[in-house]
Parts: sequence; C-alpha cells; structure tokens
Amino acid sequence: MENIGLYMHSPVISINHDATLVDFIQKLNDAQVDYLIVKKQDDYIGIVTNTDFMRKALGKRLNPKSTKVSDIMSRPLLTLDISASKAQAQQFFRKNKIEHAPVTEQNQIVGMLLLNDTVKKVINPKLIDPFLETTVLALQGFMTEVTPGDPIEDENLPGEITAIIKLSDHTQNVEITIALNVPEEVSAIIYKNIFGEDPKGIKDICNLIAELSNIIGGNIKEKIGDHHIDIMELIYFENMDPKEAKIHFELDLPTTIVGSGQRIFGEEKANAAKVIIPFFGEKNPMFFLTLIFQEIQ
Amino acid sequence: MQFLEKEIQQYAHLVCSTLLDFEIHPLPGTFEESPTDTVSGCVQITGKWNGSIMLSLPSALVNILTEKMFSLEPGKASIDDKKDAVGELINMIGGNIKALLPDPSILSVPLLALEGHSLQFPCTKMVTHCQFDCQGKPFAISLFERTETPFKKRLKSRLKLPI
Repeated sequence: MENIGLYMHSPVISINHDATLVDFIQKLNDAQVDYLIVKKQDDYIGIVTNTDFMRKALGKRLNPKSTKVSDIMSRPLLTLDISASKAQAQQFFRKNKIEHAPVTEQNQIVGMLLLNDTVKKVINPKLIDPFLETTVLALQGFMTEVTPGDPIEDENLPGEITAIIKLSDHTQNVEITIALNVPEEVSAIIYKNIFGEDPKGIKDICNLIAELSNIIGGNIKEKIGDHHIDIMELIYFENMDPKEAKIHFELDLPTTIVGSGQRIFGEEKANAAKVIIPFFGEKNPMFFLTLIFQEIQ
Repeated sequence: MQFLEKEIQQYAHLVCSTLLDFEIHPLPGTFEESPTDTVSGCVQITGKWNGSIMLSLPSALVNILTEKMFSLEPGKASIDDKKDAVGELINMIGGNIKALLPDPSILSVPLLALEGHSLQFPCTKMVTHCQFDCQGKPFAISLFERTETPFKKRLKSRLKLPI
C-alpha cells in the first residue's frame, strides 16, 4: 500500500519560537507556504498556520512587531508516522480537525503532510467523460456546439450566472455537485439560439442555465451507473466491495447564484475531489463546468 | 394565510430566541434585497415535498448575529464566521420546516450567497414569504416549491431533446 511518504513535503520549514509575527509573515511569503513549524532549540514544539495568524493575531489585533509566534502557535504538535496510508492520514486530519501535520520516521520529523495532499486525487478521466459527453449533447439540444477543454486550476470563474444542481445519495452519504458558470453574454447567445430573441432579463437567463443544469444532471444520473465503484473509491479512499458501492442518486433542484466573482460557498469540503473544465465555442471558453465529488453528513 | 406561515414564524422565533437570545417580530410587506448588501442562505428539501427555503439578511444584521452566535467582539466576525453563522441558522430553520412536511424527505447542506450575489430558484414558485424585525433590522424567510414553470413549458416546445 502507498504510504504518505510519497506525498509529503520536505524539508520541513520552521521558525524559532521567539520570532515575531512580522518575521513569520516574511518567512511565510518567502517560502510560499501557509504554515511554519515552531522550533525551540532542537525541538519542534508547535505549528502556526496562516489561519492561526488570521484568527489569533489579526482577529485579536495583536501587535505583529511585538507578538511572538509562540503566543499564537497551536500545540501539541500532532504528527503522522510515515507508514500511514493516505486513508489513515485522511481520518487523522478529520478526527483532529486539522489540515497540517509533520510526518515522522523513527520519531524524527522528516516532512510535512497537508490535508490537500491526501485529497488531491486525480479523478479518473473515465469518470469525467460521461459528464463531458452529456454536457456537449445538452448544449446541442440547446442548439449550441461546444467542445470541452483541459481542466483548469483557476477557481475564479468569470461568469455572472452559476447554476448548481446536485446528485446525492443520503444512504451512502455521497454527493456530486454539478455547477455551470456562464457569462451573461454567453447565456444571452444560447437563449437567442433557442428562442430567436434576446432574453427579457436576468430571470430568463437564470431559468435557461438552470434548465441546462437540470438536463445535464438528469441525463448523467442515467449514465454513471457503471461508475459507482469509482465514485465511492474516489470519495472514501478505500477499495470498495461492488455490492456495498451501489449508489442510488437523487437529483436535487437547480439553484442559481447571480453576481460576478463567483465562488460556490457551502458546497465544497476540504476533502472533496474537484475538477473545473472549460467548454469552448468557436474560440473562447463559453462556460465552465465544475464537478465536486464529496462525502455528505 | 400563506403556506406554513404561522409555523415558519414560530420556528424563526424559537431558533432566534434559543440560539441567539434575540426576540424577533413579524413585519408586514416584502424584504427588499439590496444587490450589494444582502447575504442569503438556502437549503433544499427533496422527497415527497420538493423546494427550497431561503434566509435573506442585511449585512449589518449578519454581523450582529455572527458576533452573538460566536461570542465575538463587535467588528471581529470574519467571512468564515459569517458563513458559518448564516449556514447554521438556515440549517436549523430548514430542519424545523422539514419536520412539518410529508416524509420521507431530505434536507440538503446550506448554499450561501454573500454580498454582491443573489440566489434564484428557477424551477419553483414562491409560496411563502415572511419578513421579520430583529434588533431593528429586517430579514426574511421564503419558501419556494417546485413547479412546472411557464419557462419550462416554453423551452420544451423549442428544444430538439426531450426534457
């Protein structure tokens, strides 16, 4: 079984316990990380993350020039042994409600593991393909030809309209969120392709994109029956018994969010698997499809 | 009387008084969303009854509720705190309303739209809208029920694929 040594970062980046918060921020920026391990002489005694800084220092308006990192560090330092599996690390993070842990080998800290390292799962393309095919077909039904591009990392999507629909199974506690982020201008073109006239307002556009997400969700529900094991393994990090992996998805209602600078709040947990795929018209990206696979409680 | 209006008023009062120790009072009329100053949260109920419940609040009230919920000093609520507070409130209100609806039904996790964004429920019609006063500021709870909208009928007649 793969252990977390494959995913950890090393060397560990540390800061002295009596360094100030100004030093902390400087080092954080220099190292391009969001945490530092706190060191006192030869011992690692705690950790300070960007969140600690925001909440404990900024939130309490502590003076960064005079406050020491030891004043805001989290302790004790919870560590993971290098022999742990990704699934075990996941459970450890979940149980302790933390997102960073030093990795030890023979009781020596040898690296750092972040929650994201354990959940940055590569979603199998064969699981994404049905979503792409369904989206292309749905758009054809909407008299618009599109082609999927390669997944992108940037989560700041340009569209003003996001339609969100979910497939969920509350027995298996799994959920797939399908979000379509579409610029208003593109929505208006699609609307015109169908109705031969401009939309009368934002409500027409929201209705249209919501119905598009509804069609994609409805059709994908029928298509992903062969991928239940892939979905369960992606979400739960475990090899699944095919009998136990059976999912019965229900399609929720679409909801739309209107406004620029969109991010979906309340939809994505830290351990979610996510992919964002642009769809192109003749040249430029027309809209973005976000898929989030995650456990629900 | 609107659908479940009295019950929504009672539950909103119960949640605000037990969770926040705030008294709220029903207000006549419709809550006016501001494009830049309203925070909304919603949960969906799916099952025998299908629809969404939305909580809409002005930013100033979100700050007050968040500070009270997490015992923060004035002005100390972060965006995450505010998201947690609104999510918790709509979750509790939604859970209570779900209990009034026919079983089996499922409550979704909350979806939030912060200032500058608004939530829309395209495949529904609004069946209840209750406005309240809390700490001198208005807020609203709205119930949207799934329906076959005129837009969907119009779309069906135009599309190549069945929907």
